[in-house]
Amino acid sequence: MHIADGILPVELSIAADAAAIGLVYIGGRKLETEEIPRMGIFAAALFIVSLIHFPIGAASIHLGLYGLAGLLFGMRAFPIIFVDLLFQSLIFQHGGLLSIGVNTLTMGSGALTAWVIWKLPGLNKQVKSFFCGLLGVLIPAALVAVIFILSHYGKGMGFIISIYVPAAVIEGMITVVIYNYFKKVKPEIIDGAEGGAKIEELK
Amino acid sequence: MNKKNLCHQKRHTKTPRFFSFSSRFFAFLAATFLSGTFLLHGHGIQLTIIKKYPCIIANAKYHGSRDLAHADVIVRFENDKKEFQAGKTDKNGIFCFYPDQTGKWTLTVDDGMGHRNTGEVAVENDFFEVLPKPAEPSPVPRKVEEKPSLTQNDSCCYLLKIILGVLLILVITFILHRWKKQKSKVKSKK
Repeated sequence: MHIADGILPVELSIAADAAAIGLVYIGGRKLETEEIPRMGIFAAALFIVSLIHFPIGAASIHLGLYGLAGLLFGMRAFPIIFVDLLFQSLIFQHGGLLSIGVNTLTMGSGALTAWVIWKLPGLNKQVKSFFCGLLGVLIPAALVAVIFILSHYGKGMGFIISIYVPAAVIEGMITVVIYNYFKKVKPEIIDGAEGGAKIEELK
Repeated sequence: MNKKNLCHQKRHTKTPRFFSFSSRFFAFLAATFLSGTFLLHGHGIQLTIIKKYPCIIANAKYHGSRDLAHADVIVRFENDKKEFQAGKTDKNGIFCFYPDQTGKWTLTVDDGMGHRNTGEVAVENDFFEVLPKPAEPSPVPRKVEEKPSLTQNDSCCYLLKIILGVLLILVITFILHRWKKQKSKVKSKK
């Protein structure tokens, strides 16, 4: 799903970079001191997870945990995803430095959707966490397809979404498992995500 | 006078000579012309058209089985005013063209000496539905290109890169945390 440099028009990449910088700034604004280690550890986990690839046909997929990032951090997911993508492009050449904005926006959109779903009232938390994981993959895949179509790569690029459907379902299930685990072992993480208990209170 | 008149009448009432020299001459000419026409008709062009994908082959011959060499051929598709192709038969009276669509194709052969014939050929869908023969299996087994697998060195390098990435993220986190902590300390002192 990472878009490399040179694939998209330069103007689009620069515009996306500007938008991504804005969202990263908004996401990192008024950061609490205690939030930083959590975000750092999650960014490291995201970095490792996204480098484990599973082959599906001619393509390969990997877990993103963008849905979980949105569930746990909300708008704070943008700086996490940005750092994650930055090191992926610097060390592994996944994606590119110019297209890092587009990649941050697409992956971040999944996290943002997950956050919106998590904030929806009146739904079973497990169902919500499943949809967070599911849409955390499907929304970025759909956005990547739309970007490719708008960049005149043909309507056939819509098949990208179909590749990520199994990955999205798997990620949805994994998100439910992680949610259940956190709820059992360290419920304050989930409570923090729900906005019930603040980090200061937990201290 | 009567005798004279009678003689004159006799002379004039003589049976007309239909088979006189002149009439026989004209009759001969007419017969020659007619037979010539018949012969000319018998000397017309015979067209044999064969459909063999991807081309249509026409073989033009005089009725006397002589090949119609270097005769003009015009190919037209249905009611198209513009000709599809124009050319000449080869020395064996053979002409070939490649139809590009289904329909009725017309070939007109003209030897430039008053001999002309037009043949029609209908090209159906099945003409184009000629599938290529499946390739025969080669006796020599193909070499299967194996995907280059990661060597132990590559795996180590990949793992080291992951560790490097994680360490860098954690170092940045640590620096940011320290900086934020100091900032908040300064704030609280003030």
